[in-house]
Amino acid sequence: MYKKIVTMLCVSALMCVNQLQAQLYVGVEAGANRNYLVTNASDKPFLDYQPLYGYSAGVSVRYAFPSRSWFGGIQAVPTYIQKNFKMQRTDYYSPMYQQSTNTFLELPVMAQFRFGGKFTKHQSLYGILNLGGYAEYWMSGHVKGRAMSSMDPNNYLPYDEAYTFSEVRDRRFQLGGLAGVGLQYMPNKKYTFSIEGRYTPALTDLQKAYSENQTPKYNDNYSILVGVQYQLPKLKVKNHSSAK
Amino acid sequence: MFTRINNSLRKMGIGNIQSMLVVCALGLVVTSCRKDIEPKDRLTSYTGKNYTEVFDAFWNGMNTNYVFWDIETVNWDDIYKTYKPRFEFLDKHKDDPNNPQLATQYLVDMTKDLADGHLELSFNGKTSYVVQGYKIDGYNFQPVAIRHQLRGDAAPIPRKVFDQTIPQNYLTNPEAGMVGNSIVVNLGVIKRNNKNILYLEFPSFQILASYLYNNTTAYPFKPVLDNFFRYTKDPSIDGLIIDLRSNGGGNVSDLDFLLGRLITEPKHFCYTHTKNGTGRLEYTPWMKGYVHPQPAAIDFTNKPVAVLIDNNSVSMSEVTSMAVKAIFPKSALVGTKTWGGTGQIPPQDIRYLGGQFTAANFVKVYTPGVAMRDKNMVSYENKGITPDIQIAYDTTAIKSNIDVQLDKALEFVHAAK
Repeated sequence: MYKKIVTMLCVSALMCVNQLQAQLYVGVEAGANRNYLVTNASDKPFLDYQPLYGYSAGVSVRYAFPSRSWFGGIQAVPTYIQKNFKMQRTDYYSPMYQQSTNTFLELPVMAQFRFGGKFTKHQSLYGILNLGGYAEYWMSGHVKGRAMSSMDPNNYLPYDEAYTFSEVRDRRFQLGGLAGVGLQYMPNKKYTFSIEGRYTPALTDLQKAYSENQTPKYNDNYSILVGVQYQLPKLKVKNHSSAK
Repeated sequence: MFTRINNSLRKMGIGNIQSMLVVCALGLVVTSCRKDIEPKDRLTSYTGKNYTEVFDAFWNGMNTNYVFWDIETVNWDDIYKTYKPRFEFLDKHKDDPNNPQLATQYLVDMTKDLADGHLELSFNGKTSYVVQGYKIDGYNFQPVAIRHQLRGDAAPIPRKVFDQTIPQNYLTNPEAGMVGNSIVVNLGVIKRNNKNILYLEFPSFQILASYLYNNTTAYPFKPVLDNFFRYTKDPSIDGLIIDLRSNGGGNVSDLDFLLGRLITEPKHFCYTHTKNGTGRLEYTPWMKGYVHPQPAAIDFTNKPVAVLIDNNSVSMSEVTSMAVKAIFPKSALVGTKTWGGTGQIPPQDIRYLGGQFTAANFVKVYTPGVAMRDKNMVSYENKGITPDIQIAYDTTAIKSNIDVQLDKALEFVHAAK
């Protein structure tokens, strides 16, 4: 599965890199997200998994090919991202819950396709479609919640502490897909501003395969991102096409 | 054809066919990589229409409800691979009259090595099964009890020792409280070398319930316990012995009711956790457990306390032993290693997402919903608590009315400063 993703990313890059000249953009990207834990808890009564908001911030690097205006280039955005969710007991047990705040160091890599173009001499407005994948490392977690205290059955005991990773249970290296649509505004050749809605479904289970009959758990993350990029001085790239 | 499509796309301003291929390929990869997430049946929805269903309900129930997977040495996945085909085989030979017996034997074999000190399987009818070559007849199977018997652990100390030998030979002004025809509390003061040492014994933790409700006999429970609380406030009392030998445990609420009268501030003594999700290894964090002071409590923590324990002290006896060690600076556990069943058993599994359940109307599983560790995060499950002062029960000496374990506890309390 992982090989497929890597192969597709390489192929997409190679198919597009028959460029004449390349430009490198660097910038920052930040936004808010809503994360859904995709699993099934139908065997447990009065238990729901609910989405929570998180945020992300990253440094974007885009390798663009200006001779092909439809292709925005290849972009990588090393990102610090939260993917949070809540386990909520319902009905009589509603005082019990657990809010999981999980932080990941994520490396999304995407091909950017653009539609539209210049609307004045210097300004351009594109619709963008980002497609790619990501790899990420689950850096840390925090759990806050309330559970029954067996030592005092009439009370619920709160907790608020760092999540303890289990070598057996937790898969900390994750892979996923990426699809985003948005707008890209270039007031001049140097700067690029963008706003994007991005969907990043995990393709790897948050848990290692440690038991038979295991119900998988995947993060499905929906982000709204804003970014700004600055064009670095042009790079000259020689290849067969440019030699002609 | 690709060229024609390509040209059309160019006219539309979309670029070339390559971009579309990439889009399609990536989409396919993303949608095909996840495992299927299939809904699972609740444990209560298995009706037991066949033996495969009995297996599924039991294996899944243990997989999600059992709280000791984090310390368990039994590989539950190996159990799945070994026993699922055996239950399926039973379904293929539906007319075999030995099937119920075989299914019972399989369940026994699956669970005989599990660590849970409370685990008990109850079957629908009388059955027989074999453990380590020994044939056992009955309605139930309690793995740890069988293991203890097979390794030659001592039987519980006879009640006669607590109800007669000790009161008659050790206690000054002995008092006893009864529920029905059974003595459920023994109290008295033991005088040793000008010291007055309070002695309290009860066979199970039904103290609060007995105190509140069971006072209709000629020897009611409540006055005895009221006297115990009165004694604890008496400055002439120099120490306390709580005798939990062969005490089978009981209600957690007794911990506050009894020890909460001897402290004036909450005392942390343990950690507990419960299941917290659908997976085998999903738990709440370890949460601190306290003994809470009760109204009219006094501070007894400056006086020595000894707890008598043995290999039949289980559950709340072990919890109380842990609590005494954590609360009273001058305390000692005296006797032999305890049973090793420190989990707590809520009445049903819904609230705790774990604990006891019934599998497909075939077997009832009695198992804790709460796991416990002591203040230092040590688990005693299937290990037992080793006493500070180890001394075996002397069956010969007791015939001469000498309880060597009680004598040792008296020695400790007397010597403690």
